[in-house]
Parts: sequence; C-alpha cells; structure tokens
Amino acid sequence: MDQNSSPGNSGLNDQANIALIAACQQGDTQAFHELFGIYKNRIYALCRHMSGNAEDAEDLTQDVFISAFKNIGAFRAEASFGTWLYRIATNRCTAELRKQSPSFRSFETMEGLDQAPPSSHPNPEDRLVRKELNDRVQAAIAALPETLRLFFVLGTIEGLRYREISEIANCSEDAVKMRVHRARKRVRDALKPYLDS
Amino acid sequence: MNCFACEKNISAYIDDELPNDLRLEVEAHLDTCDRCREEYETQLASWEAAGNLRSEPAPDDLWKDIEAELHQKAPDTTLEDLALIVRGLAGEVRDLRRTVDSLRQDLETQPAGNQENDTDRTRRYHQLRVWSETPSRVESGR
Repeated sequence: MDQNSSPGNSGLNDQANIALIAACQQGDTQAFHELFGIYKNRIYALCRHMSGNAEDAEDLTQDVFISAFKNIGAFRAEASFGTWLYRIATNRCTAELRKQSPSFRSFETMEGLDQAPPSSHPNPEDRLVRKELNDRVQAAIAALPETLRLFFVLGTIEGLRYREISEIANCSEDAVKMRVHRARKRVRDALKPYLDS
Repeated sequence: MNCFACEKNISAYIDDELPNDLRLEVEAHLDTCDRCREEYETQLASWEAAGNLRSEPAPDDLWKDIEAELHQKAPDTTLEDLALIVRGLAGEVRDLRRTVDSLRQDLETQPAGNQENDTDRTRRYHQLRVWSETPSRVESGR
C-alpha cells in the first residue's frame, strides 16, 4: 500500500494541484512532472495489482500518464484530478485485461495458489512468512475476475472510500459495497486455509 | 439483524462505510453470534493481509520514457496556435465574402439576356446570397 494511502485517507483531494493542472493544460511538461511525482506510486500500484507483473505495470503506468497529459485539456474540476487519473488507469487496465493473452493475467507470484497451506514454521522468519502471505494474497487477487479485481484493489489495497470508487467506476455506492464484499469473500476463501493454519 | 444481513455488511463494517445505526446493529449481532464473529475475524485477517500488501514504488526511470513521449506527442496546437488558426480562417471568410459580393454586383449590373438567360442568373444569384455578408442591405438596395 502506498504510504499515503490507507482506508479513510485516500488523498484524492487535490485542490492544491489546480495551478499545476492549469499549467499542464497549457502544455507545461514540467508541471506535469510534478503531478506525476504525486500520483506515480498510486497509479503504478493499481497497474501492478491489476496486471500482476511489473513489466506490464510499467507499460500501463506510462500509457496512463501519457494519455492523461494528452487529454488534460478535457479535464474539468467537477471531479478531483486523482479520481480522473484513476478513471483513466482503471479503464486502461481493464481494457488491457480483456484483450491480452492469459499470460497478462498471470501473476509473477502465482505459483502456489492451489498448494496446501504451510504445515508449520518451527522457527519462522517473519520476513519469509510475510512474503509467503503476500504471494498468496497476490495469487488470490489474480484469480479474481477483472471487475471484482478492480474493486478489491481500489477498496482494499488502495484504501479508497466507496464514494471515490463509485466515481471512478461510475456506479452507485451500493454497487461498490456489494462488489467489494464479493471480491473480498473470494480472497478470504482463497486465504482461509492459510490463515487458519 | 439476522446472519444473512450481518454477513452482507461485514466488508462495509470493516471499511467503516456503514451508517451509524447499521454499524451498531452489526456490532450487536457480532456480540451474540459466534458464526458471524468467526466470519468477521476471518475477513478482517484477509483484509489486513491484503492491506499490508506492499507494492514496490514506481521505477525511477518511468518518467524518462514518459517525457520522451510527451515531447513527441505534445499537442502541436497550443492556444496561441488555435487563436491564429481562427483568425486566419476569419480572414479567409472575409476575403471570400468580398469576392462573392463583387461577383454578385457584377451579375446584377450585367445586361439581361446577353450571356445567360434569366433562370441561370436567378440560380447563381441565390447561390451567391449564401456567401453574402450583408444580403439584407443588397436586397433592400435593389
């Protein structure tokens, strides 16, 4: 999770960015570099979790920011810039998920999803345990259908509020609530044997 | 609140997305129902595991590639360019209207029946009116 991102503190309010956005709308790439610095880790994280691997995430992140710059003239302050950027990113990620070969959907750490949970750790290294848990979570996310994956990533990993997700995904907050719940149940089911152990 | 309703609201409860009255109902149910309590604890554990999932920061060299693309694909038409284009188009329209007015005046002063019959002249006149800058003035002067 991005250090500035936690449930209830999504940081998408960006009134301070208005001047930067206005400069970008005049074609100022230096101002855009500053916006990139603010949002790069969040967008990269979203792309990373949606695509499942670093290489695709890098390509997607670049595409998102290039697309944002090219279209920033159309940005209106009705939505926050962060929400607008997330919208571009989610559209780009889901479009890529739909058109790409199955390899795109395979996570780098996908192996081990169907394996039994670790039997015991007589002297477990915390780091090792954590890495294993992370791998399993990533694998569980990879197994989600693309729509549920999006809601899981936004709601659980990115820590956005349901209202923000509803703006990004263009759906009601009730729909967000239902989809986040569905996605989380699936991840819970995948992790349950490991967590129980 | 029954178990079905409670289970449906557990994720939103964990996310602190429930209105106060519903949150209190969920809490009251969790206090009395072991099964839902277990469900809540499992969901909470997986939520924490996922929430702790750390993604490495974006690579440092991402901007370099983006910047190169921006300079290649930066819009060729700035606001200044657009203003120039609009001004240029306006000038062309003005010139065109002057030409049309001039042609129409020639047409009106030409003696009838010399080179074109009246029907052709009328048709051409109506076509040119479309381009006329001040059709009402011309018409009133006829």
